[in-house]
Amino acid sequence: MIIVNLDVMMAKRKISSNELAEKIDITPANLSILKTGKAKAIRFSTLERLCGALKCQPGDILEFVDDEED
Amino acid sequence: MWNKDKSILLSQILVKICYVFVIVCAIAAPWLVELYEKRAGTDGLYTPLLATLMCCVPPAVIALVCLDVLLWNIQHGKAFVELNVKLLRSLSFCCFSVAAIFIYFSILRPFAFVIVFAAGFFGMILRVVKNCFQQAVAMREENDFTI
Repeated sequence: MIIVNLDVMMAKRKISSNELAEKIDITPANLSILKTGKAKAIRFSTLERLCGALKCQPGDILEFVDDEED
Repeated sequence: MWNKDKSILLSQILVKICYVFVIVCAIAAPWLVELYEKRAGTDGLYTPLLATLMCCVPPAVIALVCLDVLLWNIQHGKAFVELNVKLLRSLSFCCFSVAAIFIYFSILRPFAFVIVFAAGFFGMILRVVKNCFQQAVAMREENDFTI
């Protein structure tokens, strides 16, 4: 499964949810969906804006974890 | 000018008319069956026909309530929600139950098999519509959770 490490990156960059939402032009509610891992998909445009605002790579935000691995 | 709202309103009016029709038929069933027996000139049909009709009243009322709620949801912009899938499933079960109830009567009067077939066919169509709605709900959810 794909884990969203957005909160980790936000903590590293010391940026609040509202500030980031405003910077990348999405609603705080949608950012919350992303942060809590409830999102089913993420648009390339959103990912691009997130990476731009947080000055990081997509891999810093998204992480693949093998479900079958115990 | 004919529009979506007027179309829903017309459907709601038709459902309300059906409510009245079902209730009136349920109350007047003994008299209607007696009249049918006299006109058709048949004997021994009173009890089985009355029992069959009375057994069909609960699924008919449930189906009308489901239609009413479904129309209310559509009117309020909630067409593709999980509740509507459940309502369509209930509607199809109501049709199947009417078909099952009429099987007994169709043994006594083979023409009643038309009702069995029609109710079963409606139930099948509703199941297909339910499957479409289920797919649409999944697509809407995916769309809503695409950021």
